[in-house]
Amino acid sequence: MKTIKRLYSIITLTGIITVFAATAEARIKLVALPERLTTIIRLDNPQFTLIEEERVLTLQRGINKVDFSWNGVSIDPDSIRLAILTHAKDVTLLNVSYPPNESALVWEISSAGAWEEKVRVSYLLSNIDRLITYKALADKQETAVDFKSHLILRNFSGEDFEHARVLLDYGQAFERGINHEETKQLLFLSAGKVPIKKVWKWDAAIQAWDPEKINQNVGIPVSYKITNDDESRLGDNALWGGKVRVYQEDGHGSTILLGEDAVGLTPVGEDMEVYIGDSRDIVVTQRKMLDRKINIRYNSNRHVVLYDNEEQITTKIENFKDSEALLTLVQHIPGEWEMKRSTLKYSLKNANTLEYEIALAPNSEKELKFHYVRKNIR
Amino acid sequence: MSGKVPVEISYLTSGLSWRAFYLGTLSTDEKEMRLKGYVRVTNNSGEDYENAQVRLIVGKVHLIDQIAQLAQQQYPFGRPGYAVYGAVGGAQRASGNKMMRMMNAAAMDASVAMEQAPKQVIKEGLSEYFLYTIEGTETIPNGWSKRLPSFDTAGVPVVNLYKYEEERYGRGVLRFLSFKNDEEHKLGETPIPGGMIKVFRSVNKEKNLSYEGQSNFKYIPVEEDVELNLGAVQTVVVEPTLMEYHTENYRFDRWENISGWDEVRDFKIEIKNTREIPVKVEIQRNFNTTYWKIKNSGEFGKYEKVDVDTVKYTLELGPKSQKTLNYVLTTFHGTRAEI
Repeated sequence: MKTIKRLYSIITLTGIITVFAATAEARIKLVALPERLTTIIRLDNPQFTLIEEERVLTLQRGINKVDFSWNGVSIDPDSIRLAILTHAKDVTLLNVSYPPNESALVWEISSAGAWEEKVRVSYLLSNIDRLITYKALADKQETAVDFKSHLILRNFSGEDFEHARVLLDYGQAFERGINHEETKQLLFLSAGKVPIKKVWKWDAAIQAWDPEKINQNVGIPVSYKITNDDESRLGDNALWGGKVRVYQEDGHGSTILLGEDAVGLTPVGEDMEVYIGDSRDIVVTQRKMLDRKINIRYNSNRHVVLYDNEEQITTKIENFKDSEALLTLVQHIPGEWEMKRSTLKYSLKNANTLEYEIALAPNSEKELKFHYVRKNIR
Repeated sequence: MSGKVPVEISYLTSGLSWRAFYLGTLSTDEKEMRLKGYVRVTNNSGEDYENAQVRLIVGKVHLIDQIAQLAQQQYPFGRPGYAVYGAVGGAQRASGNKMMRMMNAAAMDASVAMEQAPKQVIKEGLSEYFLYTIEGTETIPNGWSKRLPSFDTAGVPVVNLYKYEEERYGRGVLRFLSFKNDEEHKLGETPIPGGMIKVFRSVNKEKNLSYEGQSNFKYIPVEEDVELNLGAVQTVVVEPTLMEYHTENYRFDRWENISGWDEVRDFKIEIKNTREIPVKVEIQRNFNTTYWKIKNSGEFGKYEKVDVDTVKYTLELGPKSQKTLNYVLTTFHGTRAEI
């Protein structure tokens, strides 16, 4: 849909009130639209897009009425602002009138002289937004990626922007036009040789404990971790959330899609973790070897009122790959507990989640045993 | 005396309404805000008001009549046997938040149209209300609305306040702009009528804008604190984690059933400011009992007990920085609460 937006001035010194009162139902709309000088499309707020456009009005000395109307576009009328740029001290916006049943307003502007006045009109426009996408191309060794981010500008606002300056809250500005129903992809971030850490994650609450009992292969989720910091040639700003596609060089001059994921905002210093798919070359088999009540306390009716539970878990980890792998093993122990013995070191993510970082040599096997007591169970 | 006598006819009419509306523009460093207030008057009365004086009443005026209903009555005061003022107990009573009065004035002189400045809105106290009188006269044809400037105050000091309270806002951080309707904040002359504010930020010398958010606020009396809720943000992060939990001090009754115990929770809260400007963060924690004690450690800033089961931490974070606070909360249950 082609937008019809008129910005024109009706200039009189006297009698304007009468004209308006008499012709309120059918206002004259015939003055040519002044060309936009510049337009800024500001996309830093993910929910709202702010448009700023500069135009030149021809003002007469005295009271001027300037009509701003919009059809086929969704503008929040309360967001419309008019800034006087050339003669800010001598030109004053007196009031704003809103005609009935129209997408329009009328500015009443007082001018101390007759001149060309540059003004900036800003407003919030719906149905124009942006998406952020990332593309990471990994080297053959999976140690680094070429990291690129694109801004996807989608304009379904009803408004054509022939020339516009497109801005996010960081990164370069784009001098681009975009028409209604047009989508543009613009490269705004590019960093070469960004180090990555490839991690496999097995979570006891999600993955099957005994893959032999499952007919299909049990995959272990594989992710790339990219740190948003200086060392990674990033770290200037938080990275907005969006879709990430990961490719890899195949060694024959071409690339293969490894997988894609949706990520959230990554603040500076934090990791962007991109899940690319499942690995079947690492197999984890976990079994509970001990589960018994101890320290049982009874009431006078011989009902159990309090007890502890002693448990032991054995985990076998097999790496069938010809390369090293770093496996994150996530274990969960509910309630109150005490670790009696663990054959490998772990870190505590929260009161009930333990993480083991296990480095696996090529074609190797490791075993983890941990023995704990869940306490004060009722 | 014979001849022409000027008279003033006054009457109540419906369909005239107004609302307050505000535009805030933050400075680039977000320490100050230019606050512009407006009133938007709408005329749906069926009558064109030409050169009328506009007076607005800010307050809650008690009305027992619906003016539009009265206008349609066959007899101005009803007739015997029919209730005049609606049902018993005022169930049909109407209260108006805002009132408006328009008085037709004499026809405007051409020289009046040469005015150069926005009209002043004269604000004065009137009983429990505030009366806004718009200077001069206005013409508002039927069906039209008109937005008139009410005040324009530059350099209002504001604080970027970020709040976290799971029970109230979920697991996200909300951004607030806070200031006070007082002299220190270049305000405080009159109450501020409730309404919608849209907040922008000036991003450069050319005064290009960025849109920060919007908020609806209630009537703000003089000397009252204002907190404008601009919505959820991702640029300030608050992450509470329960790091350890255990129970202790079990007590048993004469039947050997559990009669009392303590629960001990060790919390770590990480707070990150990813913004380029300093921020103030308020974290409220609610407990499910009134029997508790707390031990704080780490960078917990200003700690205060809000009420019987709520505490608040207020922290100042520099640009692009993070802090960690810890607390150990012990809650007492059963007979342990009686000690």
